Order: sequence, then C-alpha cells, then structure tokens
Amino acid sequence: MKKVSKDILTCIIIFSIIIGGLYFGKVPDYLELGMEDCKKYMEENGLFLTIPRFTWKVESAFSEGLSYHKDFMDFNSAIQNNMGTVLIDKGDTTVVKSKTGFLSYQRDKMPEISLMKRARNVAKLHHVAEENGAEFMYVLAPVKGYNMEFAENIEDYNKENCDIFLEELKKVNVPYFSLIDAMEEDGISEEEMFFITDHHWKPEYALWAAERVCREFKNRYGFEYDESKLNIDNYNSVQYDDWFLGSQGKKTGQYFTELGVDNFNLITPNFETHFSDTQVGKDYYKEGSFEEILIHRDHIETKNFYTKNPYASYLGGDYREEILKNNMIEDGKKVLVLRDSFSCAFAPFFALNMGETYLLDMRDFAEFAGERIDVAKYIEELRPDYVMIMYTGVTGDDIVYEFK
Amino acid sequence: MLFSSTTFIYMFLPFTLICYYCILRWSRTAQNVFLFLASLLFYGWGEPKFVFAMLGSIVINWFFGLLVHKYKSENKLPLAKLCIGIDCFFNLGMLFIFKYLNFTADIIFSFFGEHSPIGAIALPIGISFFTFQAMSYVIDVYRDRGEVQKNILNVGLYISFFPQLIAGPIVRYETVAYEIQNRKETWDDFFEGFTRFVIGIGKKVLIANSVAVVADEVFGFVGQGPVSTAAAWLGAIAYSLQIFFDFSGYSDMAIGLGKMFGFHFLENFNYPYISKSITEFWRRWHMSLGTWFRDYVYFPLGGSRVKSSRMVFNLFVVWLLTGFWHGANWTFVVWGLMYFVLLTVEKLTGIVNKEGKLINIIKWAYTMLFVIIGWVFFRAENLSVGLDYLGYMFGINNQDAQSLLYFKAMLNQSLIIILIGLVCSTPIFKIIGKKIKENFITNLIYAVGVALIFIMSVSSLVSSSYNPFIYFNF
Repeated sequence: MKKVSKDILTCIIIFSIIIGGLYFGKVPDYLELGMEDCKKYMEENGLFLTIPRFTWKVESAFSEGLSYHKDFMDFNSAIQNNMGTVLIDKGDTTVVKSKTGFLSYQRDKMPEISLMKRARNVAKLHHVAEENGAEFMYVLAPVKGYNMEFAENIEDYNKENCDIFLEELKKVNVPYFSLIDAMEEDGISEEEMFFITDHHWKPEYALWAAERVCREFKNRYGFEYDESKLNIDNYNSVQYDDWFLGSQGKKTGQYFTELGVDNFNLITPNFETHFSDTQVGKDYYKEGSFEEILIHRDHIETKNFYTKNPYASYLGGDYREEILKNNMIEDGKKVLVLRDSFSCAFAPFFALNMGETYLLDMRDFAEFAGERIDVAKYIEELRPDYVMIMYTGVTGDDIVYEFK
Repeated sequence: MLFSSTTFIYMFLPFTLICYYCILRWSRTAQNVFLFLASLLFYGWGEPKFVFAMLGSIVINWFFGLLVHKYKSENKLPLAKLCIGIDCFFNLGMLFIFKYLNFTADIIFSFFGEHSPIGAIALPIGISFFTFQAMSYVIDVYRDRGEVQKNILNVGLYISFFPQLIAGPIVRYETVAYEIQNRKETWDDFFEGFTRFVIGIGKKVLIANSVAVVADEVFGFVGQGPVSTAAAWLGAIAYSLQIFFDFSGYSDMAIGLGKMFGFHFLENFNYPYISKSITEFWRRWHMSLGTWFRDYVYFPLGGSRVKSSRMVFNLFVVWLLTGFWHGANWTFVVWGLMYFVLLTVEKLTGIVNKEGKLINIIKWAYTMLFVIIGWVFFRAENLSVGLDYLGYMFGINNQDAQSLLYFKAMLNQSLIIILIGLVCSTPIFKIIGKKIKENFITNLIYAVGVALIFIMSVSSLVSSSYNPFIYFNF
C-alpha cells in the first residue's frame, strides 16, 4: 500500500505537469499553423512526401506549444552549463560555447569545390558590374567563431572555410575587403564585436564596419564620404541592460553560458538625417529621420528573450528588396548591396554617406517562393556607382551566391 | 514514434489512455482493437510504408497459428511441424530479405570481384523484434503454452503492441497469451507502470543521450587522427553506458507502459554491469533475447545435456545467430563469437565458480573487460575500425600531446554524467530504497525526485535534437 502511494504521488505530480503544459500552452495554435503549412506543401509535393513534414510539424507543436517550453529550455540550459556541456545539437545547427563563454555556431568543413563555385559566381557578377560602369567590392563581414578558442575536442571550420574562400576570390581577381583583417588591424576581438548569445555584431561595431568599408571605397575608388557621420562621438546611445537573448541563446536556453544575456546598445545619430525607405513588393514606404524610420522600436521596447529580437530594431529585419534614399545628400552615390542579416545594423549607418542604397537579400523568402532576383539584370537597369556583396563568413547557403 | 518524444508523452499516450480507460472500458474486444490500431499508428508514424510488412507478418502468423492448432488437435503432428517450418521459413525469409540480403549479396559478388547489383533496402524498424515474437506465437501454440487466437486482431495486438514493438523486450506468446483477453488492469499497476516509464525516459534521455555524445565523438575520430589510450577507454566506457541506459531505459518504458494497460512483461535487464562472469552477464543482459534463443534454439538442439562437443556446437550456433540477429555486419559476428568462446571456456572449465573477495573483483574486472571490448566491435562500423579502436585502447597505435588535450577536454565535459552513469548501473538506489522506511515524507521525496527526472527529461527533449536510439536498427 505504501509503495502504491509513492507511485500515486508521482503520477499526480507528473500528470499535473503534463496537463498544465497542454492546457496553458498553445499547442492547438501551433498545430493549426503546421497543418496549413502541410496543406500547401501537399499541393506541391503530394501526400507521400508530406508525411514526414506532417509528423515533424506535430512534434514541433507538442514541443514549442507547451506552456513551459521556454522555462524548460532555460532549466535544461542551466543543467547543461553545470554539467560542463559545451555543445548543443539542434538538428539543423549546432551551438558551441567558446572557452570565454561566448556562443557560436559550429560549422562543418565546406567542400572546396563549393567555395570555388561561389567565388566564380562572385567573379561573374564583378564583370557584370564593371560592364555596367560600377565599381565592385566583396566585403567579408566577420563571422563569430573565426578567432574564438573552443575546447580542444570541438572541431569548427569557420576560419578554414573563410580563408579558403578568400584564396579563391584572389585567384579569380575579385576585389575584396576582409573586415576580419580590419578587426585585427584595429585590435578588436570577437568578444568585443559580437553579442554573447547572438551571431551578429553589436550596433557600435556595425558603425565601425560602415566606416571601414567607406574608407576602403575611398582608398580603392576615391569615394568621398563624411567621416563625422560615422564617428561614434556623434551618436546618442541608450543601453538596455540584460535585454537581449540572441538566436544562439534562444536555441540553447538563457543559462547555457555563465556570462548571461546581452545588453543592447541602441545608437542613433545626434545630427540631422532624413531618409525614405521602400520595401519593394510589400507596399511599404516611409519617410523621416534615421530614428523615425530606420529604427523599429517595437523590437526593443519590451523585454522578452524568446519573442523579441532587439537586433532587428535596426531596419526591422530582413527583406528581399529594400531601397534607402538619403534625402540629405544631393547627387549622392548609388550603391547596390547584396546583403545578409549583418546589414540590418550595417546598412543604416552605411547609407548615411550614400545617396541611394539598394539592398537585395538573395535568400529565399516565403512570400516570394521560387522567385529569384536576376542581379545582373538589376544592375543593368539600376546602373549603380558601386556594387557590393557583404556576407558574414561563408556561412550562407549556395543559393545566396547564385546571381543568375 | 519514439517513447522519448514530446509527441508520445503529450499526445499519443494521453490520447490512448483516455480512449482505453474512459471511452472503451465497457468492452475488452473494443479495447484490443483500439490498442491494435493505436499500435499501427505508433509504428507508422513518419514511415507508414513499413506497416504493410508488419501487417503481412500478422496475417501469415495468424493463419499458421490456426493451422498448427488444427493439426495438433487432430493429432497430425508431422503436419503441424511442417506448418511451423513453413512459418519460420516465411518469418526468417522476410528478415533475410530486409536485413541480410544485401550483406549476403555483397559477399557473393565480392568473390567474383564485382559489386552487388541489389540496391539499398530500407530496414523496417524493429523487424528483428516483431519477427521473433511472431515465431514465438506459432511455436507456443504448438507447445500448448498459449491459446490459439481465432481473432486475427488479437494476434495483431500481440505482435504489434506498441510498448514492446520496436525495441523489445521480446515478449514470448506464453507470457501474455492469457492477458490478451483476460487481463486485469489495476490502479497499482497503472501508477507503478507510469513511474517505471518515467524512470525509463530519464535513463534514456538524461544518461544515454549524454554519454552518447562522448562515444560518438571518440568513435567518429577513429581513422582521422591519433586517439589517446585514455580517450579510447573513455569512449568505450561511454558507449557501454550508452547502450545499457538506452536499451534498459527503453525496456523500462515498455514494461511500464505494458503495466499501465494490464500486461505484465518479463524483466529484460538486471544490473548486468555487476556481473562476475560472462555467463552471469548474459543472465542479466537482454534477458528476453537470451531466453528466446535458449528456449527456441539451444534447447531444441539438445542444450547442455549432451556430449561436450555437441554442447560446444550448440553454443556456437546460438552465439553465431545472436551475433547475426543484431545486424548484418562482421562486427556482430565477431561480437557473438567472442561470447561463444568465453562462455564455452567458462562452461568447460568452471573457472568462474571460484569465490572470494579478491577473486570476485578479478572476475568482475575480467567480465567488464570483455564486455567493453565486445561493445567496441558492436559499435564499430567495420572490423578494421574495431581493431584500430582496440589498438588505441591498448596503446598500440601512435598518439601525441594533442590527443591528450582532446581527452582532457572530453573528460571535463563528460565526467559528471559518466560518474552518474556508473553509479546508476549498480543496484545502489535499489538497496537504499529497501533500507528506507516508507512514510509520507519519504514517498513525497521519491515522487518529487521522479517528477524532477521527468522535468529534466522533457527539458532536454525540447532543447536538443540529439536523441539517438541504438536498438532501432535491430
């Protein structure tokens, strides 16, 4: 009888946990979303191929929809941290903790043939740009993990992949600029540049990068720019303490690193600015100052580690095609930037010295599924002064190097 | 579907329990039909095509069960035996096609210096388990160890019942024949079963998955660079813990779930890593497989009540088959034959019968040494990797300072979980539990402890995608 009572107690507690997770959670919402997705997928791929997607969506719903999903993740992150775990496998990505406690994505070695192909595609675009009278530059944005020290048993190929890719760019005579080298010149460590829990650079270093890139354009192509617009002394800064759990932290839980969550520094110019911002294909047009239109406060006003992304307070996130017009500069230069998410924080600062900044994100966006931008054609029509590709490391899919 | 998944814990299990106990409580037949259908859903989740292989197995074995019973009751024993033969031929044939055809074809074609033209054949999950159960049904009907099932759904339920379907234990028909129609569910069993299920999840998710990272890392490094002796041992020990907690955790879940529905499966593990001989180890490890081979192969061959040479032959056959049962790879053959040699030596010499404190320690060390060596072959992709790995373990292959750094880093990351695994592989908690006088406070502490295991397990499941399961391949 006594034995039974301890099992009954166990069951009461655990059933309460199970029921609580379901009752207070959002499993039905997740299921509904998942089923809508499956319906669409089935129309294109048929029933048989949809089954694995269906089971995966159900499994996700019964994990992410539990009321305590985030709390359990945080709880697990604390356990893993105390157990000495440095690697969390998330299926599609693996997050590793460096010896300094920073989180990073572990990268596998990329096939050299793939890196070579990417470099060749860049070279082709370089020629297209030149044929259309534009100066070209490939900017290698820093990648978190390039110079970080990990436990000896962790294999990470961020550095090797980048180095091989730059070698390939050199072989095909593409003018490139490595912000990783620039970091070294300026004595900036990865721990300074990057968030602890996110793979992006901090806004103050995106500003630094904008200045370095402008300087590089000046040195190579005689581009004239106003240095004062990229001097941090001319910026207002508001620090949000313990405000940001980055994408890597969101995957591991907030206690995986003993360094804790990130502070977020929102920096904005303290000089006069005026922009217009168009998101093509989204019926979005706005005019106003840097703060009014390039800062999206809804991402930072309230603190929520798992639903908010303060990094996206710059530009508001990723869009397929966006045009920033700087109304403070007459007859300014026209620049086309092929971007990834590093440009969210970079582009607003960079655009301060440009007349028109055209941003193209070559990743696949759900609302434009299957539609690829023909960059060569885009250049022919736009006739920009500069064409720039800026990607972090070589981490993206091959697709972002396909310019048609 | 995996037991250790939120889909199972939060969707499948509650839904099944509610239907079984609330909606269908008035009819045993309805409950059995429902459990059968639920089992098909469980099995087909993600890979529905294999359901047809299992349904085929159910139909054939149900049919031969009826035939065997008919001929047996008419006293036509040769015909009954013939039916058993055909049934075994069918079952083993199906197993052969899915599991061993490629392996055999590769060997044959390699003799002629050619590549096998047969493409990859996907292995239905748990085929080795349900095939053996299916054969057990027909044989046990012949041996009068269980009633023949006229209703095919009952045979379907026996073969496909989801708790033991994909990773055992191999439930022999005689164990549950009566319970299929006449089981009595009790609240005691229900609560005890659920607690057992949660403990099984903990073993699997918290210990097996954690040590698996270490094992995968070290085994994955073989051939890519020097592995230090210490790292090789760490990897081998980690894998030994992984396979134990993975498989015994799954067995706990299966036994627990069975109890929740009124079925009583036999135990499958009994602290095998405290064994002081290989003979004892196999009495404690995967007991359902050992007893299956004993009752359906070893005894029919004559067992040990025959001449020594015949007994050695019988052992050889059993261990060759045991090795092969685990997979179509020479590594499993070597693993099985290693146990054949060790068990034969133990049986013929009686060397492990000596007792004494120091002797017992030596006997335990000897047992664990060979068990761990066995797991190295079991885990290795091929014989060459297995031999290389042994070389690392015994310092034959080169190693350098870097490999020691690897070891230290790995040890830092895994020491706590390895120690937890080592402690939990002994009956220490069982012994402590028996010594503690039960009262409300101790019961509450126990309940909170198990609930904590549950929370930690679910936390781990929602946080990481790493959830390997070794015995799915068998």
